[in-house]
Amino acid sequence: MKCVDLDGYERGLLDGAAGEAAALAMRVIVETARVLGATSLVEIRSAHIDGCLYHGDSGTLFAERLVGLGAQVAVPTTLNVGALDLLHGGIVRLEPAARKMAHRLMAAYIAMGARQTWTCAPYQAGHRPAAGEDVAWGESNAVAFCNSVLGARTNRYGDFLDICAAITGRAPKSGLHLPRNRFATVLVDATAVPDSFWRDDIAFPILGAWLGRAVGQRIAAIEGIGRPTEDQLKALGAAAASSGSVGLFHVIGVTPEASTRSAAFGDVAPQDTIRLDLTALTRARAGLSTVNRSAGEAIDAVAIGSPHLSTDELCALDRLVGRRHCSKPLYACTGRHALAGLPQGLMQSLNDRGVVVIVDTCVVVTPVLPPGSGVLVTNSGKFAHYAPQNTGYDVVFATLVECVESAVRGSLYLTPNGAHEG
Amino acid sequence: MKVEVIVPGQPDEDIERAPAVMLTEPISFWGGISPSDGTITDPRSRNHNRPVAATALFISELRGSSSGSSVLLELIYRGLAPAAIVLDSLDAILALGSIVGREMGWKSPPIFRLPAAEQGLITDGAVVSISKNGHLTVHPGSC
Repeated sequence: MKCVDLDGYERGLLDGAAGEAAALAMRVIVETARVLGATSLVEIRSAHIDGCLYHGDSGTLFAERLVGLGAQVAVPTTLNVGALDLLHGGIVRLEPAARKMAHRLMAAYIAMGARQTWTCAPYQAGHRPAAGEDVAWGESNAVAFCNSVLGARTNRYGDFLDICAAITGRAPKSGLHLPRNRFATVLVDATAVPDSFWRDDIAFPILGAWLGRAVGQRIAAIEGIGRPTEDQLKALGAAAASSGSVGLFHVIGVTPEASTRSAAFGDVAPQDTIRLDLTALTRARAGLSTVNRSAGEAIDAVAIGSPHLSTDELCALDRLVGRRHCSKPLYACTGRHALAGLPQGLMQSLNDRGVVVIVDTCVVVTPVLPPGSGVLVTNSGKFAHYAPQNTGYDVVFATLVECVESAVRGSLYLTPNGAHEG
Repeated sequence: MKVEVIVPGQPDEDIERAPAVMLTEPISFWGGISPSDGTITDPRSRNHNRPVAATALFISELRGSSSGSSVLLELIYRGLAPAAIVLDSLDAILALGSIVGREMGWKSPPIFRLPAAEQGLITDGAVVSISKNGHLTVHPGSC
């Protein structure tokens, strides 16, 4: 394997010039660079850490080893969700030993100087790197958003590399850090899909779920979906990153590296063109549900907010619930940043109406849903993907309106004429 | 057969006579292997419920959840990790689990690379040895 060229600063870290923790972190970065075939490192300007979610005691012991050696992050660093809602005790049903270790893990990352954002949507919590900036982000939806919507450059960094990059300010120079690897190779031509389809929010997680399956790790440029909002691009990226391994996509005329088709493809012809139609999207939508349920049938819970709801999305939820009360729990997963933007008293009012507002974590990464199994209604492509294996619940994929109505009525509500009629 | 060494093991020694588990379907470590008991939990896998501890685990297609490194580290910590992992292609996420395990001073599996087509020459359940420099031997009559 090739050697990794280090500059004086990087060699200094490796030799312990900035302490034992930085030396350990640098060894991990250099070893990973060697595995990836990178011949040098890239300076990163910020980090987003996914390693703060508890998967077992080993992750806590590693983070505490770093803290014990004096680790501090060298760049602005935000934290992804943990396994606990630190603001609302009682919501997460982890058993005491795991709860203690999950808490110690979160505390270790705070001790290293990371911001307590605890969100999978750091880009809506003030962490917005500039286009062209190199960063080291974990969490698949955050990576897809960071690359695609912000135009900043990161690979899909795994647990442990994220914190090592934050401590050293370096990452292996490979993959999506290199401009030549950021061009699209697949054109997705969606012009045959009726415009009315894109009017509904649910169109974007459906498109994402389809995209991940259709392109896998390849980079797609999508044409003919209008001008999606930021929250719609967030839903698209999250679904694509969970059904495939999409770390970067372009929307021609919308995202920063795709002002034109030729900009997106680096002035060469697409290697592949996929003509997307309503049939494929209808099939993708059906694939997001794991059970067939008709209107009026029983459901057990509703969950929204993967990625975490923005302030706008919480306000939309408030309007749809109106003055009614949910008869089945409606879990709304969000971050502290979004709550801070809400009008005074709105969060309490949502709780009073049966909406369970969850911060710092979410319902598919830690036990929150009522024990056992049941039917979960969601409008999130990512929840739909992970809920069956992580929670044991079956999923019915539905629009936001259908989610809210189902929670209020306590049984499945489906829009009579289908979600996408004019 | 020659395999490429991606990450050396801790300790860096030859792997002697480990049973080969051949995963021919795509698998993600996160959601596919239980970090607490080391069995394959992916219901779509024909190896469902099989333990991976102390095996030579051959993976022809790794699906890369970025939490895969955490799952491998937890298996290492609990002594439930494979003796060796052989992948079709380079994967930094899984490699990180082993790299960090080594930093923690825990016994960590080496990670090797062997293209899926060549993995196909090895029978599931065969006994294999892999030297630390990447010489793979399939023991005759072992399956």
